[in-house]
Amino acid sequence: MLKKISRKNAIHVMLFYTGGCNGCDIEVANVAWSPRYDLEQYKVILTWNPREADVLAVTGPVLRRTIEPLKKLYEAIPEPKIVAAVGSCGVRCGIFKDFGGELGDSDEVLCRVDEVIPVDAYIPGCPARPEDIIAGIAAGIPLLLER
Amino acid sequence: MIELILATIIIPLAALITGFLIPGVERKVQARIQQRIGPPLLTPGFWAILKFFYKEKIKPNSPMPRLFHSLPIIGIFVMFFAVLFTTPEWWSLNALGTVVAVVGLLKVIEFLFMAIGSFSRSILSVSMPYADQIKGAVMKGDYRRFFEQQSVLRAFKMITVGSFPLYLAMFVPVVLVKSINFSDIVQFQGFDASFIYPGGLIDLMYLEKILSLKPILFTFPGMLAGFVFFVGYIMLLNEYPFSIEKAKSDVIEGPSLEYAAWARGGYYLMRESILFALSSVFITMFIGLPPTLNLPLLLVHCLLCLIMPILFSIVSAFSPIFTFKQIYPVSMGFTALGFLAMIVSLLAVM
Amino acid sequence: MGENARKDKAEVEVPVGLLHPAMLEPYRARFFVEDEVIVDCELTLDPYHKGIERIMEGMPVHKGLIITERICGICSHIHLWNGTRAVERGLKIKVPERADYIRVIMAELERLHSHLIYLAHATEVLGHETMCMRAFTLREDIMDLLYIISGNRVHYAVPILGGVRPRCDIDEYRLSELETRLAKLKIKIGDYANRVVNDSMIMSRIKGSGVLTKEEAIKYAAPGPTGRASGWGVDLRKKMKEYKNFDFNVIVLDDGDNKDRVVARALESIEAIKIIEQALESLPEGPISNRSFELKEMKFSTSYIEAPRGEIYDSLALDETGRIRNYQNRTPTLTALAAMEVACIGDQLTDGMLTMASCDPCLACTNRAIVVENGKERIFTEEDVKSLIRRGL
Repeated sequence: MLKKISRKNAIHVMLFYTGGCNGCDIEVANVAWSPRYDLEQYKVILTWNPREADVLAVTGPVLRRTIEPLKKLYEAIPEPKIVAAVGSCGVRCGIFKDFGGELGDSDEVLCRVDEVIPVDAYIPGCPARPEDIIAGIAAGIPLLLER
Repeated sequence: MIELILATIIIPLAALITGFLIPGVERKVQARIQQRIGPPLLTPGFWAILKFFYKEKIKPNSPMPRLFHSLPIIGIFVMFFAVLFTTPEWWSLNALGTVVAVVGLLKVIEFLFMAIGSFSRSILSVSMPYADQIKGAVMKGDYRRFFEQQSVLRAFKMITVGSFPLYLAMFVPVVLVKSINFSDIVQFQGFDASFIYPGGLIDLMYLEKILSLKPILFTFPGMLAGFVFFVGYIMLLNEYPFSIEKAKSDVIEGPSLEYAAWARGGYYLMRESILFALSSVFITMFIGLPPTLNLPLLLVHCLLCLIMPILFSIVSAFSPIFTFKQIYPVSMGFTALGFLAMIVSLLAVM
Repeated sequence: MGENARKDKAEVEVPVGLLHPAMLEPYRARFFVEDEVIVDCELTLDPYHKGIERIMEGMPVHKGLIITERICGICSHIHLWNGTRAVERGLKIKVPERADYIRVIMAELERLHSHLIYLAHATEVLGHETMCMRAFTLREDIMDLLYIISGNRVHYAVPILGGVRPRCDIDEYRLSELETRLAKLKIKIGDYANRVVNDSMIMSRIKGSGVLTKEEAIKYAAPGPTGRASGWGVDLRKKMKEYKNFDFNVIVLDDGDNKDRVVARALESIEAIKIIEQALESLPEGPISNRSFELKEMKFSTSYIEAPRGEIYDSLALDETGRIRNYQNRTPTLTALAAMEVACIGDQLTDGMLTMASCDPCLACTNRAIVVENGKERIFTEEDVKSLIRRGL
């Protein structure tokens, strides 16, 4: 009971950029820092420390050089945790996979986020709109309460 | 004896409840300055801590995990004792109710930040799995330093530089009263035994009595010292602008990076208790209203304790992080101001 | 602090990165410090490498150009414009004047939003949350304008070969919105800049830290506002034919420290608003796109353009079916960050982070390839590169 109320009332979001184009990253930062959206009024706080986080927002496809850090960061977050894949790239690798010209896909773009770590919330959009990001994180909260 | 036990239980409880509110008030004030709504009052201070207690317990990346986890608890107890030393119920117990004892406890807190930092090895700096030592690089570093170790160095510097203003300000009332005992300091400002046990429980007499106090804060040296105390308070807490020890833009969170789950809650509680204890000491020394068993007085005391955090959150909303380039002159300036207050109070006594 | 000879040994190294509030994007910075003072700095910029140049090899040109937009999520319009411009120059496609005006308006709006992100980010790295949030408040107005014109907050996809997309035409409603909001915004940005410059606490941090001299700026080819803040007054907009109808000042400042880089951006935002106002006043009537062109084989064609962060270089060739060959792109952050490696020497560590942020790094477009040989990373040393050049590669 108290557990659920406390989790509902304080959610820490962490952001990790695995390699998008910056659009979604700025939008997530925008949600937290822009007074128009003001993530904190919904009791969601942006943090940079995996030990503090509940929600890991991943933007972008998983690249060769960011797959190990992503796994490590995911392990560093204590349970319960949910992962939100933000943007088309986070959800389906976006424009960087299955889209190649004559030489095919890029070798650097490895896979989707949910092939590396379990993803609970998918937030599509190129880039994801701030309203969608808030809604996506909110959609993940019931999962957080159950765990 | 019963009063002593009751005070030992009730006053830390009051400190805790006020402490839960302080980060929320602080955040709300900043949010309103930033023209946004901001989090609810209890979210940062209470629900966040409670949430951390319900999270999975994980072993921190630390050479001494148990000691590392026990440090915030030590901090909380140290700060509770600092509050208890100022209560009238504890004066009878021994000679601990002195300014020197509280200064000693505050020193322990300053040291704790160093200890916490040196036992922590966060994933965010050196141990991030990323190949960055490039073969062709000319530059070679001998030793790779974690963020926490960098912040320990800074904490060490802050102990030497940043603590002058606070302690100087704390000794100004001592000079004025010519005694290091809290009992003498509050009696000088008009607080006596009749405050603790007046007639009825709820009585307008309290208000009259509180208004009849003659706080040191409203004398000239006291005002100077109060101002210096306020700056020292921000320095000891490592808040903006003196948050070099946990500057978000280069050491992220400084010493506390590796705390997770309940220990993180403990760390936040420790911060809250430091916030409360310092405000409480200020109210006791400069307004002359110690935390007592008398509930209405305790309530007034706790409300007064919210003033300092509100003031410093206004200051911190309008200030960037200072590097040591700026901290040295600022600290020296306020130390000089503290000395001035000391000299003025010496002249006033003579 | 360029005069100091770069040492080759330091006491301690503080590695910063991949995930850090002052960087926002992953890159790895190794600060070599003695106590708090930076002796040297080294950046590793490859985590973001996606191989976009390779993906685009052999792609139809219309499809490929859309990918150029996804190179960067902050200056997306400029990338698309530059790619389109390179093809238009190569194929000698005539662009209607109205289309050029709309492209310029979008580019300047984007410059505004990029510079405001910069101001927000720089003040956030300073630790001044309030000013960061105020910059974000100002930025939201511009995002609204961009949304009104293009239908998306980022990735507007305005230019198309031969003009602009019909949905991005500036009609009566859009014109009036732009005019009223920009007039307000001009005052607000001026107030914001004044507030930053007159704040003694902020100035004590940013004044005199991270000095990049003019010589260093030219040596490292630090482009755009970064170079202009060091007194190197290059602005490609003065040379571009699209901008020849507009009257604007090139902001050149002399000190080359963090303060100047911040002030240069603030002043440039006001200049950008001036350009948009002029463009709206004299927006010519006529068609917005020229569809009467033929995709044919194109020799190597290049285009340089002034992006918010500096200059962007695009070059590509087309084969006879209109497929992209040898697409190459060079973005300003690559050289700007290299210059910052030198600029931060001799500063405090915290100022070093600020200096890194003060060149407005945008890593998504910057990251370069690493060579993997036999499953092991091989990083090119200077000798390797020289030998490659000798062999004619």
